[in-house]
Amino acid sequence: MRRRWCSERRCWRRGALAALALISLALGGCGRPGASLQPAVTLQVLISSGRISERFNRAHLRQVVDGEVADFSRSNPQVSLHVRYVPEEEVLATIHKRSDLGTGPDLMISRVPLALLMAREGLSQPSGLTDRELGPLRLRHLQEFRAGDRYAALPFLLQPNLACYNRRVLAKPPRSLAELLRVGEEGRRIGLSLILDQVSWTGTIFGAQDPLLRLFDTPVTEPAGRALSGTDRERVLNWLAWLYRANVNPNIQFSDTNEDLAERFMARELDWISCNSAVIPTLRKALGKDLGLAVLPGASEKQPAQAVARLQMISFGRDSSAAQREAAQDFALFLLNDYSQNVLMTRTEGILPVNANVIVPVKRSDLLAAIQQSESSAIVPTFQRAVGVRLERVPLSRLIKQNVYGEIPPAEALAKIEALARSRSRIAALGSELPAGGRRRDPSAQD
Amino acid sequence: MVHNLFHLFGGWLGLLTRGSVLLQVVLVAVVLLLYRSALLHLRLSRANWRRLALLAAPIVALQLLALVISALGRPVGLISLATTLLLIWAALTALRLLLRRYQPPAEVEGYWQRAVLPLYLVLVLVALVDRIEGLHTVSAIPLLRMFGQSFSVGSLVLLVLLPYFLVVLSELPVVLLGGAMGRLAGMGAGNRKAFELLLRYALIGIGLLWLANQLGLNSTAVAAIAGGLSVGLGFGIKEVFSNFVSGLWLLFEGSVRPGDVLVYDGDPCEVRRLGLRAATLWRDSDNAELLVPNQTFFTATTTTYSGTDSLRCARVVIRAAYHHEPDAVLQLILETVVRQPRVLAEPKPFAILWNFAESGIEYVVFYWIAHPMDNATIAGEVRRALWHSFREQGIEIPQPQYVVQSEMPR
Repeated sequence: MRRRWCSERRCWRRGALAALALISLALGGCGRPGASLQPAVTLQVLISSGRISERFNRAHLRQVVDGEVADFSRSNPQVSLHVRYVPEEEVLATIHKRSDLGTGPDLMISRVPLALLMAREGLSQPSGLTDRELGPLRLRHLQEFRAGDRYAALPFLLQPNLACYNRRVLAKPPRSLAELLRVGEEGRRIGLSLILDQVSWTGTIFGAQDPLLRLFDTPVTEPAGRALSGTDRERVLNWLAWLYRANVNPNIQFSDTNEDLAERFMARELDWISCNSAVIPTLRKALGKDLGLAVLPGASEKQPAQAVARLQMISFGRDSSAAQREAAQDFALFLLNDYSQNVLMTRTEGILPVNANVIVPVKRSDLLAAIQQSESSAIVPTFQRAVGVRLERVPLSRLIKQNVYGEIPPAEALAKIEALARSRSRIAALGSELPAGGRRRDPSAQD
Repeated sequence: MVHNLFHLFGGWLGLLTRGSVLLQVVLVAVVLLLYRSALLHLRLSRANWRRLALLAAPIVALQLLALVISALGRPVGLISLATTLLLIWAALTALRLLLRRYQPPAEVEGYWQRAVLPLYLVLVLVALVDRIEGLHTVSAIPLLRMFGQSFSVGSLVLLVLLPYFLVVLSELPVVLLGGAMGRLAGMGAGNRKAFELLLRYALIGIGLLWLANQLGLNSTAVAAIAGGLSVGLGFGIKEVFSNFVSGLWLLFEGSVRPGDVLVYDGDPCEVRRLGLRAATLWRDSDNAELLVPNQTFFTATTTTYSGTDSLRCARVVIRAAYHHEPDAVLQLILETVVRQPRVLAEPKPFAILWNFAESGIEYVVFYWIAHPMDNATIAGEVRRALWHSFREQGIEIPQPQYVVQSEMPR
C-alpha cells in the first residue's frame, strides 16, 4: 500500500504550525532592525497615478516616486516600502476595499480633489506631524490644509499648467490671448483642451474663471442653491461665446484629452498647446531643443492667464499600526525635506518643490523659470477652492464640448452649468464637511 | 524580477503587524481549526450530509464574531470574506451530495477532485489577493523576462492555470453538448464520443491561442519555440507527437473511436478513451484496462467488430459420437441455438459438419450476436444448452478414445 505523506490529522497539525511560524515571522521574529531577513516595518504606499488615460502623467509620477523610494530605502533599510500605483478612478474603491479588511494603505499620494474625497470619506486621517516638525520645511500652501491643530494632508509637489510650443515654428510664444488668436489666423496650429479645468484659463481675460470656480466651490447659503450674479453671468457668457468662435477658426483645434493634445504636438501636427508640466519630459524626448515653454497668455504680457495648477498631496491612512504611522510620517518628512525636494526638481523636468527652502534656479534653467512664472500666476487648488470643477469634470467638460461644437448655444450651456451647480449642492458644501479646522485660515497666517 | 513577488509577500506579512488584521486572521484560523478538530473527532466521511450541516457552525460563529468586532468599530472584512468563502464551500458541497444521488458517485468525485477543488482554491486565492492588494495591481507585477518579453504575475498564472482548467473544465460542457448533438443528429455512441473529443481539442486549441494572444507572444518568440519543438520532435518527443497525430487521424478517419470493439492480443476489447498519446482499451475477460499507443492502430492491422456494424459472427464447436445420424445432430444443434435469447434470429444461424475427429464427429454452429463483447458469455450459454439438448436426445458427446494394443511376450 502506498504510504501517505502525512495523515489527515498530522497534516493539519503541520499546517497550523507552519501558519504559526509565518505569523511569528511577520510579527518581527527576525524583523529587528539590523536583521537581514526582513525589515522591521512594512509601509503600504498608494499612489494615485492620474486618470487611466493620463499615461504621460503616470510615467512621470512613477519616475519621481520610484527615485524617492529608492533614496529613502537606502537610508532607512528597516522600512520596507510597498508602493502601488492605482488609476485615479479606482483609488477610492481600492482604499475602501482594503480598509474594510484593515489593510488600507499607510500613506497616499494624490491630487487635491482626491485627497479631499479621501478626507471626507474618512479614508485618510490628519497628519500627526506637528508645526514644530513641519515648520523648518517652510511648505508652501500647507496652511490651506490645516484641520484644527493638525493638517488634513500635506502638499508634496506642484505641477502648473503652461504653454508648450514648437520653437521652429514660433520664434516667440504669444503673450496674450489676442496674440494667440492672431497667430492662429496666420496659420499656426493651436491646440486647446476641452476639459474645463484645463481650458478655464482662457476665461481669465473675460473675468469668467473666478465666478465659474466659485460657482462650484462656494458653500451654499441660499435655499434655492447658488447662481451667478448678472455681471458674472455676462462674463461667463462672453467666454463661452469666445470658445465657440475660436473653434470656428480651423487652426484652433480642441481635444478631448491632454494626452491627445500632447501626441499631436509631438507629431508636429500642432505648433502650440496648453499643457501640464508633468508632460514636459515626454515632450522633451520627442521634440528636443525645439520644445519651448512659456506662461499661458492672458490679457497682456504683464497679466498672464491664471490656470488651475496641479498639486500633489500626501495623506495618511487610517489602518496603520503605531510603528507604521511613525514610519509613514518619517517617509513624508523625507519627501518634503530640502534634499528630496531639490532632487525632485532636478531629477525630472516639470516639477516645482513645495519646500520654500529649495531655491529654484530660474536663471540657469529657462524651463524652471517658465514653470515658476506659471506657478506664480496659477490658481493652486485647495480643499475649498478650484476643486469643485475638477470633481464635476465629466459633465462640465461635456457641456463645454457641446458649446464649442455649436450643439448648444452659450446661453443654454451656461444655464446647464448653473443647473449642475445647483443639483450638486453637496459639492458646494465640501468645506463644511471637512474635519474641524479644515477651512482656510486667515491668509496672513500662511507661510 | 522574482524578488518583486517576495517583496509583495513581505508586504502582506507586514500587514499582520496591525492589530485589527492579526485579530481577524487569528479568529478565522481558530474557528476553522475547531471545526476541523470536530470533523476529525466525529470521523465523518467526506461526502456526508451531517458534515455539511456541521459547516453551519463555523459560519455562524464567524458571523457572530464579525458582529461583535464591527460593533467595536474594528474592520471585519477578512472575517466576512472567510464567511462568504465558507458559504460558497457549503453550496458546492450540497451540490456535490445532490449530484451523487443522480450521477455515478465515482464520476462526481472525479470531477470534484479534478475541477471543483482546484477552482475553489483559485477562487480563495483570487478573492484574498483582490481584497488585500487588488487583482489588477498584483497581476501587473513583472516577474520574468523571456524571449525579450516581460511576463507579469497575471500572465504566468494564466500560463500555468489556463491549460489545466481548459483540459479539465472542457470535459463537462463538451459531454453535455455531445449528448444534445447525439440526440438531435441521431449519432451513435462512437460518433458522439469522437465528436466530443474533437470539440474538446478545438476548445483547448482556441483557449491556448487566446492565452498566447493574452500573453502577447510575439512572432519571434513563437518562431523560437517552434524551432525548439522541431528539434525536440526530431529527438525526444517524436513518439509523443506521432501518437498525438495518429490519435487525431484515427478520429477523423473514424477507424478507431471510443466505444469500438477491437481484437487486441487475441482478446476483444472495447475502446474506452482515445487520448492524446494512447487509447484506453477495456478487456472484459479480466476487467483490465490496456493503454495502447495510438500509433499502434495507425501502423498495424487492426481487427474491429464495430467498423460497419457491431454484429459479430460467433461459433461453437461440439462433437457427437460416430453412430449418430449427422443430419439429425445438425438439426438439433440449430434448433437449440435459435432458442437462445441473446442469439440473433437474423442473420440465421447455420451449422456444418466440420471434421471427422479421432473420438467423434465435430460440428460447428455459426450464429450472430448484437454486441461483440458478449461473445464469451453467450458462447457459454450456447454450449450449456447444447449439452442439455444432446442429453435429452440421447446424443453422446464422446470422450477421447484410444486403442491401446499390447503384445504379450511369447
